[in-house]
Amino acid sequence: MKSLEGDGYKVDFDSGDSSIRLAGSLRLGGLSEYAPISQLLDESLDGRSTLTVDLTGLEFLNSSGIATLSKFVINARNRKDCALTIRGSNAIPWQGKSLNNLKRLMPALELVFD
Amino acid sequence: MPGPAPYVKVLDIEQTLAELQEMVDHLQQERNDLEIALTTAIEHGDAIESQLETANRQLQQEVRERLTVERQLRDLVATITQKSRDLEVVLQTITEHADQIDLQWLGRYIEAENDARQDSLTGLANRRMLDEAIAREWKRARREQQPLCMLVCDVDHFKDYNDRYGHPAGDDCLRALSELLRGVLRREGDLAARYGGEEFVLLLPNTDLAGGRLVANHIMERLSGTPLLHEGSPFGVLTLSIGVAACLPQDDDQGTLFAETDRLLYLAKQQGRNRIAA
Repeated sequence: MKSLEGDGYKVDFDSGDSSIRLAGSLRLGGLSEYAPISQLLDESLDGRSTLTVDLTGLEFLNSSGIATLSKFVINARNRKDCALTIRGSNAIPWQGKSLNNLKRLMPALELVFD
Repeated sequence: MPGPAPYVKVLDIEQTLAELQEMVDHLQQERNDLEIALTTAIEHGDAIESQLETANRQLQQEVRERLTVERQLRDLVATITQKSRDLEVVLQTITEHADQIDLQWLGRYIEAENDARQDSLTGLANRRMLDEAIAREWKRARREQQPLCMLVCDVDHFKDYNDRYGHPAGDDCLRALSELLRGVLRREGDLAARYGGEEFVLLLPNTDLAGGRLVANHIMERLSGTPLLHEGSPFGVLTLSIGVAACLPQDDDQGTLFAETDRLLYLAKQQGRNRIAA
């Protein structure tokens, strides 16, 4: 288990479970502050044929955060070696539209809403 | 007739031979020239062929290079097109995401604004919203020269009620009274507020004293129609004292209406409670 933690948020990468979970409220300032999370997301793809990104506990994500997530999805698509699943929640207003837009970047992306 | 002399014949033969020799030489010269011309033509052809071969090889190399460059350009265009498409989607994703977050914040702002103007126990307007409404309606009534009416309702012996039945029951009682007060208001501009503790205020725009008294009577009727047991009260049930006042605002002193209504409420209390003073 590899984790990143900050003010109001937590990111847990469980390599055994092939899942990475983002929870809390992510409101970091700009892409540079998102770099460690971006790096962990990209690392989680290494040598893996499937990966689940669990966002069901991510209450808030600012614009830099969604840009980071978009870049990660493009990276996963270009690598062509990992089947990506994103789990979202219908109870969190921003996830409906934004996660569906990510599917446009990667048509093979599987979206699951709790 | 006698033929030419032998001497002449020899001369003719020599001349013929000389002419033949000259012809042979000429032909020899022509043959040599032709041979040179032919050799030159062949060598020239070889040179041209070699030159053409070189040119052909160069052209083929150029075609191969151009095809490679064209393929690279096509790949580059495909990559740029993909990146451009990605950027468009990312831009749209970020824009729509920002809109969603704005809506989320707006919802929370509205919620917070409502919380800031609503009494959390009863759901009625709180003191802040009442103050804003009084300021607004006072100005409007003054401008339009319409009466503004106020009712101040206080629960009689409420401390005894809380002591006897407990604070949760007291809260239930206040919630029931709030429902009753909300129920007697019929117009959009009317406002029921919890002023504090067990005291409630009704603000009735465009209503004179007679209209306010009618609303107060209506409250009393409803309360007696659904009596709430209060063994600590001399009346045996929960009762209200109500002060009612109305005025045509003439100046900026909006506090006079509340002061007068509060004075009348005090009078109702003084006169024995469970009554209306107007």
